[in-house]
Amino acid sequence: MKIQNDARYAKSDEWVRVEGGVAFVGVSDYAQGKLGDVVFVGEISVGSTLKAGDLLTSVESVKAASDVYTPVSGKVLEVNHEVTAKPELLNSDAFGAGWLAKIELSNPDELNSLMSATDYAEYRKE
Amino acid sequence: MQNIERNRFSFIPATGDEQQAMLQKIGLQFDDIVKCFAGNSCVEGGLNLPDGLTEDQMVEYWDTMMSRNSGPRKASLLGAGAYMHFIPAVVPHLASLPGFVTAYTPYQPEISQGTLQSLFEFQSFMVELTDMELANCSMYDGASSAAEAMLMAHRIKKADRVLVAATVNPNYLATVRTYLKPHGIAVDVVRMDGDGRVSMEDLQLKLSVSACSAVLVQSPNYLGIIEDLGAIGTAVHGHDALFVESFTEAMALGLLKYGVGTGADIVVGEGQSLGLSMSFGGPHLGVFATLKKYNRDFPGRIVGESIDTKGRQAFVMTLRAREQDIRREKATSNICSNHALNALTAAVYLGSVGESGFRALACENVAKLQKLISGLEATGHFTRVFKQSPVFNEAVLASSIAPEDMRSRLAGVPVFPPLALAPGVVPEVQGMPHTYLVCATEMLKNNILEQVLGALN
Amino acid sequence: MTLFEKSVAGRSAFSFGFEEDRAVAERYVPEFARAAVKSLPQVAELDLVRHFTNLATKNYGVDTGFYPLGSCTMKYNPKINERMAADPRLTVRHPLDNATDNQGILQMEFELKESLQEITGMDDFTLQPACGAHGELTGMLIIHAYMRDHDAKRTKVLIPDSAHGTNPASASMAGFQVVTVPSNERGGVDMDALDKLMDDTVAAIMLTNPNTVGLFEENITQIAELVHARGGLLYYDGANLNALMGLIRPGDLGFDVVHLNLHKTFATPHGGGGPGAAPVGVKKLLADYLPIPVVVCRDGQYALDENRPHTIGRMSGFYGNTAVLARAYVYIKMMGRDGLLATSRAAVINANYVKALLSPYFPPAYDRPVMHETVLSAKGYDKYGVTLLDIAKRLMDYGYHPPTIYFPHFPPYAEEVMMVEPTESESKETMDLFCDALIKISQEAKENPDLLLSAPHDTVVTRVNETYAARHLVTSHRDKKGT
Repeated sequence: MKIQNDARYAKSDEWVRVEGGVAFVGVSDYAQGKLGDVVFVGEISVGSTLKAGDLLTSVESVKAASDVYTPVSGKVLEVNHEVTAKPELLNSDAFGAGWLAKIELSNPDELNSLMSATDYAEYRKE
Repeated sequence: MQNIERNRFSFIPATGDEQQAMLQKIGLQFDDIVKCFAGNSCVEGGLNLPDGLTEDQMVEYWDTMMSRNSGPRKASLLGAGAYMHFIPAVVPHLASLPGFVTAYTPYQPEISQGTLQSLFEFQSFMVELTDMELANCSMYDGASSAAEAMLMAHRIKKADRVLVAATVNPNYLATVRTYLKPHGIAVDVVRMDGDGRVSMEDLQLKLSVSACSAVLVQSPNYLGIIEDLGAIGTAVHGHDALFVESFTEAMALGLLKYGVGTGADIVVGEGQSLGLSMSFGGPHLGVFATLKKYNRDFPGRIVGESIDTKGRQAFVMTLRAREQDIRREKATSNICSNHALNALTAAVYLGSVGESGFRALACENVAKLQKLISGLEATGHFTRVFKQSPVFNEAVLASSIAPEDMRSRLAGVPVFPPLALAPGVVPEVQGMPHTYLVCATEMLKNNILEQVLGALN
Repeated sequence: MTLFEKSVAGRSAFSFGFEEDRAVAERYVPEFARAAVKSLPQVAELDLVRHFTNLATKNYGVDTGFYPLGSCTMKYNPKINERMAADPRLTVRHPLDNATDNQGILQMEFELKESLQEITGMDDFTLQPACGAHGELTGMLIIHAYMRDHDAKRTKVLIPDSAHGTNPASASMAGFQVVTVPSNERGGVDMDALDKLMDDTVAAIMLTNPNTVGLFEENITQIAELVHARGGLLYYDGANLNALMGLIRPGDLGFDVVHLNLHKTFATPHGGGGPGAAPVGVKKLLADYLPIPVVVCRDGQYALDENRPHTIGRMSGFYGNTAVLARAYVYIKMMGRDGLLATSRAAVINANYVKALLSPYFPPAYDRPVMHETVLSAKGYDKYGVTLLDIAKRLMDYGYHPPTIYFPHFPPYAEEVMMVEPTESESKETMDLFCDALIKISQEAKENPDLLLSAPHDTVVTRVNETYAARHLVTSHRDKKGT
């Protein structure tokens, strides 16, 4: 199971990483492993304002469908069109090229209530 | 008594001795196994049903019972959602092959390529005939497909209102209402105009008054009249709603334009005319086709082409994440089994008639209806209602002949008599208070047509 | 190759005596006429026959071999049913034709209705629903309409975690909010959880009995009393009725609405995924809500009655899948009272027998006698690097269709399980051979797991790439041409 050390994690397996004042959000490597080969990433509307825990999108494999919830509140600035075109990126590079959305944080304190990389690794230890 | 037992148990191979041996292996007697019922009611004294029949007794019983139906029919002047067409012998022959009939749902593609490929071919036929981008591998019937299309449109557009043309088959409208009622989605009916088609004026009005998710129109409509789907599509797309085209007579697909060329977002309908018997109403065949951009939103199963580990062409059910076993309460529909064998039958039928045969049959239907109308009008007892409006194989005629009289006159002719419409459905004609929806297909051969005209003269 | 890929311009399989001038129609409505479709296949009749006959051989069917599919009841489809259902006095009948001219068909439907009422202990039936999910939707719409009239705040439906996916999907389609009830360590509904969840916002509980792990719900009487006492209704998913005929009746257990699967319990063929039929039975209090029309008998005359003041409306264009109903009718008529009981009895014995043979290798989810199906776990095999899917695929090399896999799924009791339902149709030898095969595979898993991982080898196609299918979506011949 790959882990991104500088990211924070939600119990529902989403990660968030702040880079240049903007939050990148995606699903963890553990989550993509459970899903299997990802075949579809649903639409995310740019400009929408979300609260932490709101539905961001849904992701599909051949045998399962998973709802993805945003771990942080804010406005969606950008959507990763590469992963919509090539959903397999979510499998091969869940923390990198498989990012789903860039969010402008409205409440940076929320990051503190998410799990650290070590805590998440422990939580998802098999 | 022994004789009867031997026959009944032909469907249960286990002998008494074998069952004893099995119970020994299990280590329990049968009563022990079902003692979990203890405290609950068991059927006292057995079910109150007659003794079973042997096969020959069953044939006899069935024969006596079915002889209570009226005589054999060679053609039908009755349409209104079910149609009597010619079915080539090769169609039931291939559709009854045990490999297709006794097969399970193709969840294990390696041993279900027969079903999967036939369904892929059915989907291919439907895409071509409806001129849409993808088609599922069947629903139950046209009415429930129309209802599911409304629900799909609601999922996409979210407005709690749909418009349905008054000229849609009344049973389809009723089914749409049943499906939509618990969700609080309003069903507004768009009025009919003076030509027996959906009123463009009323459509524009109803589209403008508030948002709606979909507009459902049928062509040929319930009165047999061909709607101007292109014009309706343009009107619908002037507002943010989905345009849903429907048909009850699949043979019309051989001659009339549907689909992307007329602005359709979804095309649904009844495929019974494609090689299936009317069978007193079922099982028929729900057709559902849509655009690729809605490929996560549509209901029903769909088969895709793929490859196996050796790179060979292989078919498999795909886009499964929409379905009930994965999505449960968030599924696009609860549909599980569909009408797969009937979809296969339709594929065989279309392979048998071919495009040229299918178009030729559609043309024959049009010509037969025109001939029948001329003949009926010539008797002086009938006149066409909505004369200016083009029809396919059904039309409304007003008559001075009452329904009971119609039936008794036609009693000696091997045809299903036409549907008597309720008063007020269409405008009244002076001196001809009774109205009928009259159908003519390729089965209305000239000699039968002459008998009909002779009886109604 | 698909039929489309076998097309040769100019070939034809059609022979029909056209009497009219084609030009009449071509001239008639030019503005609405479509362009000629160029890409439909043109084949000769022999091409068509060979194409589909060969496709049929690529299919496994009940007529070919054993289907141990739990909850599907893949029993033998008697051929007498096919012969009766092909009778032109049934097939060449228009549904809107006068009832007085169709007394034979209506008699058949009415007698079927009465038989089903007797078998299930219910008061009235609709024969309209086309298959199980449609029946569930019909039943749940009836409950929804009833509650709307009597107690509109009841917007929830309780469904066990072991339920078939159509249950929550149907409840949702009927306008309800779904609340899941956990199962207990005995394999039944957790009564404490039920006690907490059953309140005055709950319209109904949907149950399958025996449930999806093949166990009879031990507390069914208490569940019925509790739910009724608190104002709710009980819905019965009849998928597993094959275990109960002549032994016990859902109506007597307290169920208010029942759906049956004629393509399971009553031997109508599965057809590769339908058509089936799913009559829905109700107790008197809900009879007025049935979809119309309902087949009735008055003074020896059969008719289709539309007089149901609170009807939910229509679920379809006509009255149900008559040709499927006819097959079930013949089956019930031939089995009779004693045959139906013998059927359920044999189904239950067979399932327990298979459980006894396989338990040492695939431990049962619950150590209790089962009804007509058994749920066995393959959890231990992952240490050989082998999953339940691999075991299932390897079974195909032995000539069997795999059992139901990964369902039901409600950890910790049911995980990596397969559901085996032999039905009464299978002989002792078939079951012995099937179990031998599974036992051999369990040994192969330890000694030669690659055989399983690369299975199936002996089928017409090997493992089909589902990811490829979804990522390169080709669902029609038109897609292949890249339009």
